[in-house]
Amino acid sequence: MLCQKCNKNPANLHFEQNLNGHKTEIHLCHECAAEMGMKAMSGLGVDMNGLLGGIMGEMEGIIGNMFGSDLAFDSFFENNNRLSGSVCSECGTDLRSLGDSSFLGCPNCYEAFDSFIEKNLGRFQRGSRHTGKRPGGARPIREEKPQKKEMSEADRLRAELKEAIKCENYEKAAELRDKIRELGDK
Amino acid sequence: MNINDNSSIIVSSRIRLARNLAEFPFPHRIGPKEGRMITERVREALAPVKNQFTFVNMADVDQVTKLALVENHIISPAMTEKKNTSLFIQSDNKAEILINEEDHIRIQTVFSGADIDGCYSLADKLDDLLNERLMFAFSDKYGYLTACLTNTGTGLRASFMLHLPMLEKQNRIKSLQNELSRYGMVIRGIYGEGSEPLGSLYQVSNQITLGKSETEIIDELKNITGQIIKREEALREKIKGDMNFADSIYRSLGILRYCKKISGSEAMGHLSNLKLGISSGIITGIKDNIYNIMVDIQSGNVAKRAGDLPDSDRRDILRAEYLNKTLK
Repeated sequence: MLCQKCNKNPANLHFEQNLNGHKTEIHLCHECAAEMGMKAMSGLGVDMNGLLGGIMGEMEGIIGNMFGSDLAFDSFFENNNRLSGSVCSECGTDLRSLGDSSFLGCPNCYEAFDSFIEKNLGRFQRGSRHTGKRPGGARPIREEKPQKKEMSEADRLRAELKEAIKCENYEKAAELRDKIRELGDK
Repeated sequence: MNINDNSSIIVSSRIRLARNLAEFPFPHRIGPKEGRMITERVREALAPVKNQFTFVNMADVDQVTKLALVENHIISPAMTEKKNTSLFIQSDNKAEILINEEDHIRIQTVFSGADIDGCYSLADKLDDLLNERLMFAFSDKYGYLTACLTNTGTGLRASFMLHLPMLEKQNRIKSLQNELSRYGMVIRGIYGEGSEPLGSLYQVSNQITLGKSETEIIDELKNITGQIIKREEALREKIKGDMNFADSIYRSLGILRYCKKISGSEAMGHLSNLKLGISSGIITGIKDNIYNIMVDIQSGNVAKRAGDLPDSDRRDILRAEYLNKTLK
């Protein structure tokens, strides 16, 4: 799925709100989310609600009346602070859906919801540490992410940007975004 | 107890290993494109043994064949409903690799009789072969990462299919269920929905997949199964020489040989009786594998042989004809 703002990068941040039975979904890439966050920050200060409200304000402009103009965009993020780690950054699975079932969305969910899994694993398993076979033998021909080997400067900065957003370090994220822009590789 | 001595009660042994590719979401979160990519990755990884495997894309399989595959325990009923699924079947039917069922990859091996070690050894080799070219989702803490938390760790489900007519007659299955759950094991009927298992066939398998090694899981399964077999044998011993018992077995054989029309559930009851009669030494001279006949008379397999979709009346007639001929 592509980012709904730039229509270029894959969307790794997924936002969802169910308002009076009206389900709204927004899918963004890290860069756009950060960029929108930065704009919001400059206008509204650094408080989280303002930041998220700012993102939603931007989204309103981008997505237009896709979701209907009367939606309370601000409360969407006030109530659903999904940037803070309760959503898997790879697949968008949220903690709530995980709580309802024993299914995860992708391998990264195990890391994203580690503490939740550890707490709830007793429902399904007796132990909490793997003691069995490990992948071994020859190395895989396909590396998980082969581009890592020859990472360009822009790729490296994007990775840092991703990390900065994850840690909610938006000042650093803004700097990184500007650097990426300077490289003209956006 | 040497479990390999009990092949008349142990119908078959089965191993299933769940694996996922690190770079894709789990099957319930992928689309057709990713589904195809995963299938192709597995195909590439199987290249060294490609002559041993036949590829089947589930989208190309008709309903009757799907049903027959379920009845033969090659695919789960759930797999018939899922998208992007396919499988690689080994030519001697001992191993299958299921793609995009609940997990990206499920290696499955089934041997007849009590050879669970042989099953694991083959599954383990296939796992190593796939792992040479594929990066599996794995964490030091949680082991092989699976779509459902019930499979994570070893991703191993080891099971025996058992024929337990006497324990069933004595209503002992329920208490066995409670007992097994304390050891992280489960027993359930193979055919028939819910409370009415057909043919007295049961599957005993591990539920716990994390925190124990593969060897520990398999050893515990062997141990528990050994105890179940002992109890079934003790009950069988008690009715040896009982004329009513012998009578009921010969009646079942008579019906199977001469009926003109028979439902699946009635036939399963008689076949189960016949299997018990053969292993108790009451009936001699029948060399057929009764379990294979039990599979062959399931509705999907009957329809598959007929080559069309017979209604239930005709299915019962075809089933009777098949039984008459096979047990002649």
